[in-house]
Amino acid sequence: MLQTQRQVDVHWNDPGPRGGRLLGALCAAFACVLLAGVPLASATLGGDAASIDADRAQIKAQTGPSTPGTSYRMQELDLPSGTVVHEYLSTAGKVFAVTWQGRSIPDLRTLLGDYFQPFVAGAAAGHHNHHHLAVTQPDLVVRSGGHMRALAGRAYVPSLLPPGFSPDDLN
Amino acid sequence: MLACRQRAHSRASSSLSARHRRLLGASVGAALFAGLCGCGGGGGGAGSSGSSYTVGGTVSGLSGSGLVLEDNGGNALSVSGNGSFVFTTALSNGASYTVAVATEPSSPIQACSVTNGTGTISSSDVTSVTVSCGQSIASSGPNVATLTVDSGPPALPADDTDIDTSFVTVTICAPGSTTNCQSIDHVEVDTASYGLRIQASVLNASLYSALPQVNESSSGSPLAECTVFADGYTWGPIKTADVQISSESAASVEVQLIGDPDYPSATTPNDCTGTGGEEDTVDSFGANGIIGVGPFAQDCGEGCTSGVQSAWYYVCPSTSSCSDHTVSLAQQVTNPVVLLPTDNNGTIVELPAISAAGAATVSGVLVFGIGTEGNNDLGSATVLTADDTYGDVTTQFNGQTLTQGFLDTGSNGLFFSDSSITQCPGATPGQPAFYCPGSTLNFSATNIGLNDVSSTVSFSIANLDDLASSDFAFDDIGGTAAVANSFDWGLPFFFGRNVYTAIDGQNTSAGMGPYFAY
Repeated sequence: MLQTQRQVDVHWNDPGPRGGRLLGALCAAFACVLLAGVPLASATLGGDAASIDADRAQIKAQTGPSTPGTSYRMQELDLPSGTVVHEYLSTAGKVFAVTWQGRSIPDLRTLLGDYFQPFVAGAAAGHHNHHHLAVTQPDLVVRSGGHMRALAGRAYVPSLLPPGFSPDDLN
Repeated sequence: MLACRQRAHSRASSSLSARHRRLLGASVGAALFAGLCGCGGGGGGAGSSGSSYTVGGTVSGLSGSGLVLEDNGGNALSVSGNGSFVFTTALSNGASYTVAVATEPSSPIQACSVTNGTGTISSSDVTSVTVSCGQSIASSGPNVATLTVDSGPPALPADDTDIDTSFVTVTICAPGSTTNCQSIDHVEVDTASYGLRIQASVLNASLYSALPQVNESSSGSPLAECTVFADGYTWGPIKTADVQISSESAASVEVQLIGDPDYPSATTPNDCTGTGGEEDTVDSFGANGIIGVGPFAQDCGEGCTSGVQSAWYYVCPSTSSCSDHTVSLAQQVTNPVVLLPTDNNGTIVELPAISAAGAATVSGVLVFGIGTEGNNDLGSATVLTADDTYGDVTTQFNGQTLTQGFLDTGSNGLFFSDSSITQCPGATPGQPAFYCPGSTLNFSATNIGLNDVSSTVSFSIANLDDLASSDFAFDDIGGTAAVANSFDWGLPFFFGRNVYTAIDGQNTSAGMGPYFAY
């Protein structure tokens, strides 16, 4: 949250017409989230469509293909390190799931937002298994697995899943 | 030939643990008893005459010495090789017979099982008893380290102990020193990571301060690493150490120190802490260290030598100011096996079979080298070539083709997805992904190597909640896959098998690694 806020401030203080145009662009990416009253920390998982753009900027990713579904849209984000993130946005306008795959795990503090601390607490409570993690809470499910050089995982909020959507459909 | 001595003691020795049998085998001069006893091999014995008929059959898979069979609780028969056998005592028509293994082979240890072993004589000799001997576990050698499955480091609180985790003892020395050394127990053995990581908290002050820091060659700054596991990360600097496992030593190995107080949690880089939970203590990690002996020589490999980096290696001009950085292969944390002077092309994990009910502890061995010594031949193992980017094979299960199949001592279950299997009730966070079927279920899956060789594996899934909480080793537990296209063959797969891991770029009697064989 702090880092996202800092980026906005930097551009806000940048004077001149370029700064003004930047502000306009930033509105799309960040400010609208602020105006909507959604704390940036709850962007991303559980957040709205604009939070995906905020994530993209925060994790310095390129926008990948967007795949429409009947009850959702999947937005791919491609990290410079090669890791690929998928964010699932329901037609109700909420990010209900995030998946990742790559050599390392992306910044889940950003991607899970308010769900990050419950995720970390849940992970610490489970068995030690360095290649398999399951966190199952009433409002958060995380699965993380794979081995060194090839890690993947998914996180979703059961109450935000679109009707008829199975977590098995996440990829 | 040891069997001659054991014939008299067969009752007692059959109840000894595998470890005791191995000690017995090592302590008795085989040649001495060969001369004294003159035990016969298979075959021979009385032919059928009058109303007497013989009982016999075939032995296969035998490579160890010391196998003794018995019929009806006696008539001990020492068997020294594969092929036919006949008990010397003939039986009358209508008599019953029960063939059993009185003493299993001890050098090397093998498990043998009898089929068609019981019946009634029916006017002819019995020749249909089959005895098949399986796994052979190396008993000794400079390249053999004891591998233990137990409750983990003694310092671990009871509620932090783990099931199905295998450990080895590693000795760390300051480079070049033979005195500034420390033996570290309960280092987890992991065939799905690469390189040695040790908890700084378990090192004594003398050794801790004597391990040289690795400075990244292009920047000259100290090198640190965020090792990202599926369940959390370890953070700490890269040091060099001499590493001894079994009786073999690797010099100047790049290792990671976990939880080094010089690299405090509070200043761990954000892209590292953002990957999950910190596991920089024995309690949170579950072991005093981890030795990655999987199919690669370096932990990150080519991916860290160029391009944009995130949550791997860092240069740290000061220990509280670290930034993502590339690092050469030579400076990456290295699988110690490839730095051994000999026996450096791979490893074998050899754990004995255990009861479906589980075992409190299990003792096996970690063997270094493949086909380099008398005790590490591939034998008849099936070789499955793995891809040289990820070290995976393909696994077919339930009609699905899963591209990330891997053999993984570092996982405490068989993790694969089958929505028809009941999951455990979610009493414990982290546990609900395990399976808890109403009764034990049997499955099979097929592993396929890049070399198009395939191997079908049968396995069982029991109800985890029904298994004894006092046991720490199970060959029949599993849960849902965390990754849709993966089949994670965790430690349950390894019981009763010798599993070979050949390292990428290393030559073996069966060609170049990476491959798995079993």
